[in-house]
Amino acid sequence: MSGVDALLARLNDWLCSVGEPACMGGYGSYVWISIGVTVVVLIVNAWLPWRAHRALMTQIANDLNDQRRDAARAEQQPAQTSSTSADATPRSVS
Amino acid sequence: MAGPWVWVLGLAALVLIPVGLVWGLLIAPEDYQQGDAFRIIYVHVPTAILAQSCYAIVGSAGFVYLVWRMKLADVVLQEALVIGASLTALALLTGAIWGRPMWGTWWEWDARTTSMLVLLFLYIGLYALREAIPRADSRARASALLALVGVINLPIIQYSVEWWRTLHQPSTFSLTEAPKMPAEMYLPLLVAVLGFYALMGAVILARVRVEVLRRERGTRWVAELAEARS
Repeated sequence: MSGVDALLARLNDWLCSVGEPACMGGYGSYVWISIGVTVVVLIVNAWLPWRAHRALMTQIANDLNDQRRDAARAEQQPAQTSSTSADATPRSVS
Repeated sequence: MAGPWVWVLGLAALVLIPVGLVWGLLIAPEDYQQGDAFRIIYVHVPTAILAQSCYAIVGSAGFVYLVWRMKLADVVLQEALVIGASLTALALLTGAIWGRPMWGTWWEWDARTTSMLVLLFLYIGLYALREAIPRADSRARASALLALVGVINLPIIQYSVEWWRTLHQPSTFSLTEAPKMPAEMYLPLLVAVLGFYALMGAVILARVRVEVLRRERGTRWVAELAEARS
């Protein structure tokens, strides 16, 4: 009996000590490992695109906010530059 | 557009899969030959069917791309192959776990298991091919072609248990014959398969939606969508 088989046999013994639905007629370890792995893979498959969608939408919204802020700053800058030069001119003359 | 469908299919899966699994695992009677070990069928058969259906989607998407050059078909191919690969790996794994107590071995070079392994290699090969080609149109054309060639494996998987004498039992589902299992075993399996189909539909749509948004992120409609969301 290989190490994996011995491990599964021990798991079977434990499942049978828990009760009949868990024991599955002595095949509990095979059945529940199959179900468990499948459920985990299905959950990961469903969760990954959900997380990616959320992250992408947040990133796009942040990029839009950055673009808006940059545009507002660019609009303000020429106005500030012209007012600074207007202030500076008389001073240098005096 | 995909959003409501993702939710509808996701909710259907959330109901159908637990109902099918609980019904099959705890209520359905045990098999007279295999005992309770047969209950692995409630995850093994849905994953195996879905793995093949996913490849049918991949192959169809490849055909649509090659004929009409539709970019969306390339996105569908790219996203369906990831799901298909994970389902094929699951089908092989649950089959091996089922095979250990029933056949006395984790693996047998049986026609059905070998053709399923070829399917897994096809998925992995397609993924590797896409990763290896940097130019988008060359990548799409090459992967569509390979996907189409790989479709030949689907009838081999389906009929392998009839064409060759194998250890694997005959197909559980048939479109032309009545089920060989009693209704109390067959119905939970049908519910689980429908649930898996709903989940696969939801996941593929969700993945396609993300990829389309990623490719179109510089456009006005994506900006408006993100704005409406925030």
